[in-house]
Amino acid sequence: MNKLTVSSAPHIRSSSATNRVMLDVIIALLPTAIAGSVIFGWQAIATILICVLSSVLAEFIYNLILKKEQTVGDFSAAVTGLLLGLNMPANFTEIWWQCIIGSAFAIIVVKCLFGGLGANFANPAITGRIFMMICYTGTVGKSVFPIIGSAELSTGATPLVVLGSDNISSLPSLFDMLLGLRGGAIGEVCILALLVGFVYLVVRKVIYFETPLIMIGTVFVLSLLVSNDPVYALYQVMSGGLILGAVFMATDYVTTPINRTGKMIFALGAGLITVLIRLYGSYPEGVSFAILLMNILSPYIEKWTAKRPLGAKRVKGGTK
Amino acid sequence: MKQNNKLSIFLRGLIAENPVLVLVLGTCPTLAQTGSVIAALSMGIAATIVLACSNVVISALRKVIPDTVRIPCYIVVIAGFVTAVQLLMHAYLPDLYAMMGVYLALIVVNCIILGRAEMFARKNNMLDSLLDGLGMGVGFLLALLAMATIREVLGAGTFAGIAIPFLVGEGYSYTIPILTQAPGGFLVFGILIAIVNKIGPKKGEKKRKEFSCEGCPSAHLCGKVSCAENTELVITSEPEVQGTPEGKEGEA
Amino acid sequence: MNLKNIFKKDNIMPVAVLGIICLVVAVLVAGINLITRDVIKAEEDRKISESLSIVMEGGEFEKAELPSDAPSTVTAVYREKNGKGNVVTLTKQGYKAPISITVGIDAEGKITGAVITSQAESHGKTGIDSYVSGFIGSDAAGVESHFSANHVTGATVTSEKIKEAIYDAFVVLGLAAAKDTPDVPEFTPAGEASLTESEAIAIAKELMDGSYTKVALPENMPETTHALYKRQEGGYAIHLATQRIKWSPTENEAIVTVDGLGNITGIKMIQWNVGYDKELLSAAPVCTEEYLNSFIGKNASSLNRVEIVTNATLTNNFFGEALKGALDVLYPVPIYSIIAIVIIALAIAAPVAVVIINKVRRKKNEAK
Repeated sequence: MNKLTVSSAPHIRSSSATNRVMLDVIIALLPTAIAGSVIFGWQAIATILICVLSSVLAEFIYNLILKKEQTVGDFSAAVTGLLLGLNMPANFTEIWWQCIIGSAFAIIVVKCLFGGLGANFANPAITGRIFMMICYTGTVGKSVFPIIGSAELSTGATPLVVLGSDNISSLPSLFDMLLGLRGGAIGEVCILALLVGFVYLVVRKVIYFETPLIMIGTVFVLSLLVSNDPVYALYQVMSGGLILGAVFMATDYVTTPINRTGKMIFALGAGLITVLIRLYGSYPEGVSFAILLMNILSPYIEKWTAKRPLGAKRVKGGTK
Repeated sequence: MKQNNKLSIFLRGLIAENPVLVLVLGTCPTLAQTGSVIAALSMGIAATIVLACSNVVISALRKVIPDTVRIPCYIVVIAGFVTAVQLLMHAYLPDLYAMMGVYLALIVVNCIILGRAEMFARKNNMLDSLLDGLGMGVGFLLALLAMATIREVLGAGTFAGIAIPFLVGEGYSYTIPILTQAPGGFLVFGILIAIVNKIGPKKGEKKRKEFSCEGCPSAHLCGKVSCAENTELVITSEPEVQGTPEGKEGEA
Repeated sequence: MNLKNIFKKDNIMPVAVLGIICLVVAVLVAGINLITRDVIKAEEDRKISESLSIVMEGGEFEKAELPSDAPSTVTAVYREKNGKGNVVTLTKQGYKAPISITVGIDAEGKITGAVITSQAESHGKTGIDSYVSGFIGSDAAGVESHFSANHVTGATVTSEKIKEAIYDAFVVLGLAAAKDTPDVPEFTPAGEASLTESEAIAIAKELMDGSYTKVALPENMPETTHALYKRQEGGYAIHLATQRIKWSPTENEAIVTVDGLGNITGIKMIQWNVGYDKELLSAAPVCTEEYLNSFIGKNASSLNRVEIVTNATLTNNFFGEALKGALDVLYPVPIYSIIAIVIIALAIAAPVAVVIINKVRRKKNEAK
């Protein structure tokens, strides 16, 4: 007698799909990581490495203890660690143990406790960054300056802080901003490298180009509106974690709306909230909170922009 | 309610029906006053005193208070005890009073106290009510202490104000400060509830009946591979299975 | 309503029981209050005395009535029971946030101690504490003439406010006269211009060639603009003359040329005098070429990106404001903001239009 196995979809499962996407993201982040290491020195490499290691280890141990199947092979923990590391300033000697705690929090609490990859409601890297900003404002909020041009890492006011103060005359030149010769987190300073990564991701069809463009565009237009000075608006766009967040974290598959229109609304909202926090809030950096807030709203945006089948009428409580 | 063992009334409030971690009552002071062990201790003791006293008094008056005004009466009694505790603390323990702030007065609306009054004190005699109040109060205290220990040690590196040498010291501090703030409080609370409910006695969990896939009408639709593998696919052309894919296949 | 029904047992009992319970509880709580009242009061007094002893050693204090004409900054006055003097607590708005000060003044009218209890100023926090303790030993006259050179660097406004608040402490104790004139001496922004019309035009031609004619000043032009010359080929030459006496006189005079779009094309500083206590500043800030060049190309909105001369913040800002005021009047339209508004309007209109068009199309299809 032949046995006919019938089961419900999906019929082909393979982790290589997630693998491939994550690998592409890692490749896209390589230029930024390399640029950060060149600009900030060995401490940057060390910071990135410890974040990646802690994230992977955290997921491994969690799965081990709770007797679940190991998901470390899909590289998502590595990507989270890489992103978190790039959001940190390059003072490894002070923040190494804080990175471990932050990575563990991001992976275990934000991702694993909610059900693992695909079930988390917020981007682990962004939430990890917020967690570390609140806990360790002194060291993580500190901004470190490049070693190129001076022997040691020094600290001071980043362009973002300067923009938020009353006297905005002491900004680095626009060219320096582009190349990354200024203070800030490891991954956010070199705009050029970030743009290279963005192009790679679009070409490899990993992300749609709209989300980062709309988010950055919103920030630019709103800054222009408020200041009537296009150069100021350009500085606003290039300062802080905006481009890093817009390209790599506002495009996360799990925590942003599925449909294309939804993604655009997400980007719009994130850009709007970023500007509001930067201009009127008490934190100089608004990108993390903006993305987190929009993550929480994603399910509703999805529902609102869901494609209706042809001929369907909208019934109260859902679509028919 | 039949209670054959006085001790079991007292013990019940400690773990099996811990008011904070199992019944999830009184979460407001739990989150607010567990930033430090001393605050947790004061809150726990104050609440226990009020709970025990109010339970006894309400139990004593249970036959006298008419049903229609029972809630206002309970509140007045509880408020009276809380005010008394407040005044005494302000006079003789002013530092603790200052540390507790508004949460001392909020004990009046603590769900544990009103809840036990409603569920237990008005149906049982004074001794049982006293034991129940003490048990619940001590359970509350223990839960608060557990949370406060975690939050203070990991969040501030001290225990009851005493610095722990390898966590906090001159010029260094290996702590997770967010644990002493609100988000950390919620985190620790959630994890504690999960742990206690996992390792504690299970309450009223329905055991799923194990049955085989034979004779299960949805065997062919169910995603359980094991089910499908063990069953021969039965395709019938009877009218009942119309509308299912198999039904259509059967008719084809 | 039957009167008998109201007085039925079922209706009276609950009310009665509730009332009795309330009464009993009230009596008991009142009793406890009676016992603890004095202990509590003594404790509160002790706490206040402890906090006030910082400014007056070993004193026992009791709160005193505020006189009706007390300055608005005074929050409380405490009289020391043993005749040592008084302590005054005040709150005054600083540069950004309120500052709370506690001042102790002894029986001879001299300050025994002064501390800041709360402040949120952005600059020079440590400097402020030592500035405040510099008042110890002064009397009312000493406070008034307190040398402004001791102001905390970069926190001039804050320092002034603290000084004024301490002076108010003397006023409320009757040891000094309230100032009828406002705290700030009269200050006219407009200064004396040293150039004649022809001299001004000659300079303007050097900066940006063209033929200039003097025009009347528009109505809302700030006082700091001394004269305005319209350039026939487009643009203006602005003759600014400022004078600021807030803490000491500064006079700045400049000719600025702007093109038709509102961008600065040239600037020449005729007079540049920097603010307070010039004699004490060993290196008076200098108006450099670099500073002047940073104005070129900026317009009203981008003026705040001009590099500020070190130690001349207020002078700088005041001059910048004068220039910005003139430009705002001449070129009121914020071009880029309007471009931004247009983009936003389009961004909102486009999806709305698409949705409406789809709805209309759908309706048409259904009607067929």
